[in-house]
Amino acid sequence: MESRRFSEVLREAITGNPDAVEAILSRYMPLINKNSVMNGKYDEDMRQYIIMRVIMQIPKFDPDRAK
Amino acid sequence: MVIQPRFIIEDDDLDLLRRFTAYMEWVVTHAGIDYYRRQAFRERESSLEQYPQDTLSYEDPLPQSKGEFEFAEDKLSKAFVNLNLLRRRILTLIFVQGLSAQDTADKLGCSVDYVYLQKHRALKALRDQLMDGGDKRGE
Repeated sequence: MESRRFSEVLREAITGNPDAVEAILSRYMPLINKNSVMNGKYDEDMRQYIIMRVIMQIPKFDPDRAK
Repeated sequence: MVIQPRFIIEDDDLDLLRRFTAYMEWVVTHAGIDYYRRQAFRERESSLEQYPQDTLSYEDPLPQSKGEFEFAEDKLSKAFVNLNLLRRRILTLIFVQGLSAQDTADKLGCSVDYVYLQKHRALKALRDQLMDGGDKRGE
């Protein structure tokens, strides 16, 4: 896959482009995996739940918000 | 310019990347907490389902007679409600479910010493409330 600019992909993900959402998800997958541990054990259901929540929350991010 | 496996990150994008990463950390952390709460709630619900229905509904066999035992039990239940959630949970796990202190600590994610300490304080609070008539709130 060709490399693309992060801000461009993020804006597409926010508008709901599935490829862009997937690209953003894959970038943050290590963070998701790290948080998918419950009682010291990896929990696949928890991982799926977090991914679902991330997909729902990406469009709510405002890239142009003032610092 | 930093090149990531799938993204080109220009200098202008660094602030956006930093903000979005912080946002993702917040979302992922809260999603995890939410999942944990839902699971805990589901476990609590299913632990009630495993008991036969007739053991869940309590009918007083002698509603007119308030013996000494029933009176004490009444006081105890009022005192128990006054304990904080953690202490109630610890007493339930140890005395109702019959778990060991180690198992209780594993389940609650704290140390065994902490379980012993909270159990001791909960029993003391119960004892104090029963002696004082159930008015004092458990610390």
